[in-house]
Amino acid sequence: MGRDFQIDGESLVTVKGSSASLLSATTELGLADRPIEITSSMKYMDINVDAWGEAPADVQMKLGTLDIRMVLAHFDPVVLEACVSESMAGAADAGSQPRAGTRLGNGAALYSALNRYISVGITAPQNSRPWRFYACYLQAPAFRWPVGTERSLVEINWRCIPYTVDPWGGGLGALLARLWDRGTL
Amino acid sequence: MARDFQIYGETLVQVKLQGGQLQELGLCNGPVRVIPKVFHKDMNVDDFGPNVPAEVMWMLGEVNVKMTLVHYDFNVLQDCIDAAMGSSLDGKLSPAGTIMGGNLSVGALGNFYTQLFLSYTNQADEDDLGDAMEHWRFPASYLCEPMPVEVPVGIERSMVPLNWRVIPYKRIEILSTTIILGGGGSQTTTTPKEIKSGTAILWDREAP
Repeated sequence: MGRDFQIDGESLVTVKGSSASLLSATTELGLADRPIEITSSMKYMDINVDAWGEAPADVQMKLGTLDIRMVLAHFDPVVLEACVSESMAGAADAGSQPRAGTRLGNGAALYSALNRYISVGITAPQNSRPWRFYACYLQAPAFRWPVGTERSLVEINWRCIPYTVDPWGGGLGALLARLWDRGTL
Repeated sequence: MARDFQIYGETLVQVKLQGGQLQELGLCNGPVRVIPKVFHKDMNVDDFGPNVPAEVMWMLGEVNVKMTLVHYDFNVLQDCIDAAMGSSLDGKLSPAGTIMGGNLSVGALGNFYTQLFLSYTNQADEDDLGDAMEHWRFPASYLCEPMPVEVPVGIERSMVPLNWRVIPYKRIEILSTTIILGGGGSQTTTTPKEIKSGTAILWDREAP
């Protein structure tokens, strides 16, 4: 590809979720008022041996998650509220609660009725490197929603996990699970 | 095999109960701990004083396997609990004194020991892809006291600690002798032979 300034361009956020929700088809969520921040949180475990003192002799990679923070400026509030209720494990609507302990994935495939994870897409029209995050939910604080006379700039925080139906993966574990790729929803 | 960090990899717990059908029990939230308990007996002589043995005898051993299940089949777990309780049925008890092995082969109907398998992809190999599964088999296991199983009941996913005991179960051979009697008849007598600990299996690497 070569070295250059990286400019993603005007980034539109799209979402797709459970077939039993308002997000059953790819839906526009909105535009952000500033750059969307994608923060990787990969976990590692040191392997220590006495001969190496305080430094690890090797490190094990223990998978990880992503945090995606965006401040929506031009957005569809119905879609956002659908994201909120889906992130609450398919609560009846934004504002109601599911039963405590309800799972989001339920061992079901993405986009099926029982799976409440939301795929989040971020377009990148200028460098053709979009983001598609497969299994996301709004994590605390799910949103900060200013209510007043000015246009609301709503901050939302996503968490993306490497969800898979069967953690055993036929003996491969998380090898085939994806956090993101460069496709479009 | 050279010296290296030993990483067993993703480990699936499988079981075979009486009848011999392989079933997946589940995945654990952390490492499965395999703890051999071995026994020795000191041979003392007066010349060596009262505390230090002149020689030591090996007196067999058993294994304790501890795990905490998090992604598991509850029906299979219930079957393991029932087997450990002498083939009780979900709380309805078998009679006190029920013999677990019954001098039957492991896996035969009437033998209530559980064959316990730890199946894993050994990550010590550099190439993770395409590795054959490796196994650690404990042929004669049962969930044992003091705390064989603890089932949390609540709104969070249940993580169930299990405590297995593995013994070197071995059948007693029966010597069957048939004597031809005068007049055309025969008489068969069966005599149990001495049970010998040599070649008893505590664990092996057999695949399920």
